[in-house]
Amino acid sequence: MSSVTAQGQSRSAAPFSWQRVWSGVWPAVASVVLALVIAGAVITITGADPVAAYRALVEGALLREGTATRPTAFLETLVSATPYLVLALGISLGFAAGLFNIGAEGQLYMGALASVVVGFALSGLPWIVHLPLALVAGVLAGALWAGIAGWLKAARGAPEVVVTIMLNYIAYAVVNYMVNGPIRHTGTAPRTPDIQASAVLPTLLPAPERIHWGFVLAIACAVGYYFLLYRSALGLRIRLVGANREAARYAGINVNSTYLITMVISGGLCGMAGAIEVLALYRYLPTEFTTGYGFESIAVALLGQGHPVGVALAALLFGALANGAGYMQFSSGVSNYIIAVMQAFIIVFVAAPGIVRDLFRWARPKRAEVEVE
Amino acid sequence: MTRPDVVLEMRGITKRFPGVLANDHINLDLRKGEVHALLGENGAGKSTLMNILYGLYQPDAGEIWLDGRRVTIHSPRDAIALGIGMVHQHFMLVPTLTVTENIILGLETRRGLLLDEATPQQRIRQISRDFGLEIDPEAYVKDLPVGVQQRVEIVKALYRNARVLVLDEPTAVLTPLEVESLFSTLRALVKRGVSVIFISHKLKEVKAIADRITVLRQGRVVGSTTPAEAGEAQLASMMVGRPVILKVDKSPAQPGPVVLSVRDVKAMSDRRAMALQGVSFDVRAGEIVGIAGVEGNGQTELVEVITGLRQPLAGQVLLCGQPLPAWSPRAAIDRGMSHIPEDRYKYGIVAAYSLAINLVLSVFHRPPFSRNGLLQRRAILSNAERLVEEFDIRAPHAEVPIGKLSGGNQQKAVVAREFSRPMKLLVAAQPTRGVDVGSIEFIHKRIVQARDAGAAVLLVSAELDEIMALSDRILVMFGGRIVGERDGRTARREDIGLLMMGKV
Amino acid sequence: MDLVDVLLRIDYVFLLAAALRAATPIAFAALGGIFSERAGVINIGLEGMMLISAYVCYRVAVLAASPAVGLVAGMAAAMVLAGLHGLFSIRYQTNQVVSGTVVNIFAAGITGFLFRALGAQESAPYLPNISHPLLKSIPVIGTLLFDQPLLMWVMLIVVVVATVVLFRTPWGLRTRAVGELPRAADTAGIPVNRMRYLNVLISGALAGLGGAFFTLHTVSTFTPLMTSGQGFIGLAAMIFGNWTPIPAFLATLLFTLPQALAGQLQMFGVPLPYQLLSTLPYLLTIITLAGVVRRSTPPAALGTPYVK
Ligand SMILES: Nc1ncnc2c1ncn2[C@@H]1O[C@H](COP(=O)(O)OP(=O)(O)O)[C@@H](O)[C@H]1O
Ligand SMILES: [Mg+2]
Repeated sequence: MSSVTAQGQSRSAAPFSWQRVWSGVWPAVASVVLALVIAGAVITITGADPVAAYRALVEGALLREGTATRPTAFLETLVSATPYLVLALGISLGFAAGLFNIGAEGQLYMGALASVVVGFALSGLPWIVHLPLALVAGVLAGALWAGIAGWLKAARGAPEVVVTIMLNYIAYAVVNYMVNGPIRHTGTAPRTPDIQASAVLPTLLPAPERIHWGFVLAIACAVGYYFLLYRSALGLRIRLVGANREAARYAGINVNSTYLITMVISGGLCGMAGAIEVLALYRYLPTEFTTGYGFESIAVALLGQGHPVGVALAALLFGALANGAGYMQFSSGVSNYIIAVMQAFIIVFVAAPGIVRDLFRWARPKRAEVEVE
Repeated sequence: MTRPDVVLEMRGITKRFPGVLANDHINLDLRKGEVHALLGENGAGKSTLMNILYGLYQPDAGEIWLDGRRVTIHSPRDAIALGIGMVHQHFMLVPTLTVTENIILGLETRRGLLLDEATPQQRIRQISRDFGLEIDPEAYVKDLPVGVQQRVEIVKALYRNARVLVLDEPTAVLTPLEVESLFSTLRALVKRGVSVIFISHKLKEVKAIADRITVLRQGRVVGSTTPAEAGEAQLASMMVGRPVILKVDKSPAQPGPVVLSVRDVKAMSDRRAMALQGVSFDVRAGEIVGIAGVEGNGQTELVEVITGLRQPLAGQVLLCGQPLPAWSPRAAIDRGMSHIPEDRYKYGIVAAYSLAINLVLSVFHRPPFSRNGLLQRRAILSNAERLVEEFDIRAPHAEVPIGKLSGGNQQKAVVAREFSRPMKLLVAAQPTRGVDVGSIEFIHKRIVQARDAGAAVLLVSAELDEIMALSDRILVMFGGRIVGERDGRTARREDIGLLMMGKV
Repeated sequence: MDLVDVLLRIDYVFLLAAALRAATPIAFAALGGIFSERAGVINIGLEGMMLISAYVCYRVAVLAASPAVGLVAGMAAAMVLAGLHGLFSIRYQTNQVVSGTVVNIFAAGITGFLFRALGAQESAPYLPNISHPLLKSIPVIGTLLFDQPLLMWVMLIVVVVATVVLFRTPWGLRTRAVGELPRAADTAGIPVNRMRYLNVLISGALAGLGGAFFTLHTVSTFTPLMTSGQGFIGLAAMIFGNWTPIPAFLATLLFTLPQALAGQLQMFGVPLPYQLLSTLPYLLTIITLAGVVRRSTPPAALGTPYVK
C-alpha cells in the first residue's frame, strides 16, 4: 500500500483533504442536531422540559454508574448498539451494490430461529463446538433467507425491495408457527426451550453487566466489512456494480452473481445479528423478540453513509437513544417513544442533505444565491 | 436599431457551466427567410447557445431580441409562444406515443374533458402535404426510422407555428440522399418566410445550404462569412484554430488469418424487434473492416453480440476459430478482444470512480492489481501513471473521478485501457463521438497502429467520412443485414450512400 | 369430510365478494403506484402513506365522531407524506427507493409513537356499506356489489376513471410523456416537475383511501403496522398489470382469492395452520414477481430525476 499522507508523495495519488471528509460528515451531524431540536420541540409541546429530558437521556445512556443489580449505562449502550451495528453493516453492503435489503428484520428472525434450534436441540457438545455451530447456523439461515431474494433478483430480475419485504412477513409467520407449535416449550408463554449452556455467547464482565462477546464480534464485522469493501477485489466488484451496472457488465463482471453474493453476505450479517441476540441475551426465542431492529438499522445504515466508521458511530447513537430512553421516561416523565420521532426525523434529514442545507440557508441568509432549477 | 429584415438577434450571450465557459459573449443575428449556419466542432457551444434561445438554459448574461423587441425566454413554453421551434440533436419524441400524440403534446385540443385527436390530425396532414414531409400521424414513433422521426420533429415545430426554426446537427442521422431531401424541405420553408438556424460541423453541407455562416470555437464567435467567400480549408481552420489534416496516413493492409468470424447471427433489440436478421462476415488480422450504415440498422446490437453484452437468438461468433460463449463479456476479454463502446457513459466509464480504477476496470481482480484477493493500490496507480503518459490523458492526478474529465480525455482513457491488454481483435464503435479534433486524430492514429501491429479491427461508425478514411474493407448494414461490401481504396461515397438506404 | 366435498359446498360468489373486499386497499396502492410511476417517480412509500392515513382516519374519526371527516384527514396526511416523497425525489434528487423507505420508516415511527402516547381504546365510527335491499337480492351481482364497503365502490370507480384519465385526456398524455422522456415533455412546454409533484400527490391521495379501509371499514381501531405489507403487494400488482389500471386491479384478486379460499376451507374445518396460511399473499407476490418482471416494461424514465 502506498501511504496516503497529507503531503501525498505519489504524483498520481489524490491529495488528502480534511475538507472532503468534513463535507461527507456534516450532513449526518446536522441531521442529528436538527432531529434533536424537533424532538425537543415536541417534548416542549407536551409540557415537559426538554433540557431536563435530554440531560436524563444522556445520563441514562452514558453516565450512570453500575450498581450491584444494575449494569453500567455506557456498557448497556454498547449492548444495544451491537445488533444495530451488525444489521446496518449488512444493509450498507447491499447499498454498495445498489441493492436495498429491506428484509434485514426477516433475516434476523430466521438467524435467531436457526441459532436457537441448534442451541437447544444439540446437547452434550463442548462449547467450543456448540457455540460456533449455533452462530454459524444463524449466519447461514440469514444468508439463505436473503439469498432467496438475491437469487430471484439475479435469475428473474425480481425487485429485491418487494421480495425482501414479503420475506419478512413470511419469516414472522414461520417463527410464530414454530414457537407456537413444533418447538414450543412446555410452559405457559409461547416460546422455545432454553438453549444449552454450551451454546451461550458469554458475557465479558461479571453480572450484573451484560456486555457480551457479541459486541466484540460486531466490531470484528466492522473491520472485516472495511477490508472486504475497500481493500479487496470482491469489494471493488461490488461497488462497481453499484456505481454503474452496465459498465461493470461491459468490464466482464458477472453482475448477477455479484448480486447473489452481496445478498448472501448481507443476509449472513443480519442472521448473525439475530444469532447474537438470542445466544447472548435471550437464550431462548420468544414469539416477537425484536422491536423493529431491522428497520431502524436501515436508518443507521443511511446515517452511517456506507462507511464502517460512520455506521459504528450511528449504531452507537441509536444504541444510546434506545438505552437512555427508559431512564429519561423514569426521571423526567417524557415518553420513551419520543425516540421513534427522533429516529424518524434523523433519516428524513439524512436522506435529503439538500433539505438540511436549505434549512441552514434560511436560518442564515447571507447573500442571494442563484436558484439552480 | 436592428435592421428591418433581422428577425432574431442574440447579443453578448454568456453561459458558464462548472469548469467550462460554454458561450462567451456570443452575437448572432438571423434575417428573415435565410438559412444561417452555425458551424463549430464538438463542444464549441452550439447546442448550448440554441438551448438558451429555446429557454432550456438561462444565460448568465446577454440579451435576445425578436422582431426588434427585447424578450426573455424562461422556458420552452415561452419560446414556442414567440414562434421559435427547435429540432434537437437527440430527438424529443416519446417512443411509446403516436406521431399525433407527440406533435400535440402540450398543445392538446379537447372535446369535453377528453383528448381530441381528429382535428389536429387534419392539420398535421395539411402541413405534411404543404412541405413534402411525408408522415403517418397514427404510427407509433418507436416503429419509425430516424429519418422519418426527423420529419415528425419538423412537423411538430411547424404545428406550433414556428417562424424561426433551429435544427441541431440534423444531418448526423441521415443518409446522403436523405440530406438532399431535408435540404429541399428547408428551401421550401425559407421561401415561405421561415428563418432557419442550421447547426453542423460538416463543411460540405454548410456550404451547400447556408446563406450565411457563423463559426464558433471554444464558446466564442471566431467569424462570420458566406459560402461564396470562404473555402473549405479556410472554414476548417477557423473551426479548429489551426490547419487540419483531413486525411489519415496509412499504408495498404496486409491481411493475415481470420480472427473474427460472425456466422449467421440473429438478435433482438431492446424493444424486442428483430435487429439482426442473419449477419455473417469475417475480419482478418491486420485489416480494418468498417461497418457503415445509418444508426439503428442493427450496428449496436451486432457489436453487443460480438462483445458478449447481448444474447443472440441464433448464430455464432468465433474468435481465432474458437466459438465464443454467448453472453459473456468476460470470455471475450480473456481471449483478446478489446472494445471501445459506443455509449461511453453507459458502458465505457464509471463516472464516479477514479481515472486509475477506470483504467483497470476489466483486470483489477488479477495480478499485479490484486494479490490474494486484496487490491494493490500502488500497482493500480503506477499503471495509471504509465497510461496517462502514453495516451496523453490530461488529468490533475490519477485519482480524480473520471467523470470530471473532458469528453476527449475520457475517451482517450477508454482507448488506453482497451489498448493496454494483449489485443487480437479491436471492436471500435463510434470511437470518436463527442470528441475534439485533436483527440480524433490521436485515436485514429492509434487504431491504424493497432492494425499494423497485427490486430483485426472492426470499426463501426455513423460518420461515413470516418469509415471512408480508416477502412480497408467496408461493409454496409441496412435493416439488420449486411447489404454490400466494397474495397476501402476504391469505394465511392455516393455508392455507399445508396447502399445505406437499402438500394442495392 | 373430505376436501372434494368441502370444495363443492363452498359459496364461490361469497368467496369472490370477500376477495374483492380484501383487494380494496391493495388496489388503491396499485393505482397510486401507477400515477406516481407513470410520471416517473418510484413510490415504495405507499405502505407508509397507507399506514399514516389509517392512523389519522382513526384518530380524527373518533375526535370528530365522523368517518367522513376522518377519511378526509387521513387522505390529507397521506398526501403530506407524498409531498415529502415528492420533495425528496424531485427537488432534492434523493434516490427514490431510499426516499420511499424513509417515508415508510417515518410513518411507522410517528404512528407508533402516537399510538403509544395516546392509546387507541375508543372505536371509530364506520364508513357505511353500499347496500340496497332490492339490488342485494339479485343473484351473484347482489352479493358481489350491493352489500359492500363504500371504499370498495370508490376503488372500482377509480379503476375506471384512472384508465380514462391516463389514456384519454391531456393530463394522462402529459403524465406518460413526463415518465417516458421528460426532456421531450419539457421541450413541448410541459412543466415536468410540476406534473411529477401532482401525480405523486394523487398517488398519496389514493394511498390515503387505501389506508382508510383499514380503520374505517375492516376494524374500527388502530394497531401499529396494521397495513402489513399491502402497499408492497399493491406495487407487485402494478408491475403485474404493466402499470395499467384494469390489469393491475385484476392482479390484486390473484393475491386475495387464494386467501379467501383458504379462509373458507378453514371454516369448513379443514385443518390448516393459520400462521402459515397468512403467508399466502406474500408467497404469491414473490412468485408472480419472479415470473413476470422480465416481461413488463416500466416507464423509461422511472427513478431518474429530471435535471435540465
Ligand atoms: N448541462 C451541461 N453541464 C455542464 N457542461 C455542459 C452542459 N452542456 C454542455 N456543456 C459543456 O459546454 C460545452 C459546449 O457544449 P455544447 O453546447 O453541447 O457544444 P456543441 O453543441 O457545439 O457540440 C462543452 O464543453 C460541454 O461539455
Ligand atoms: Mg451539440
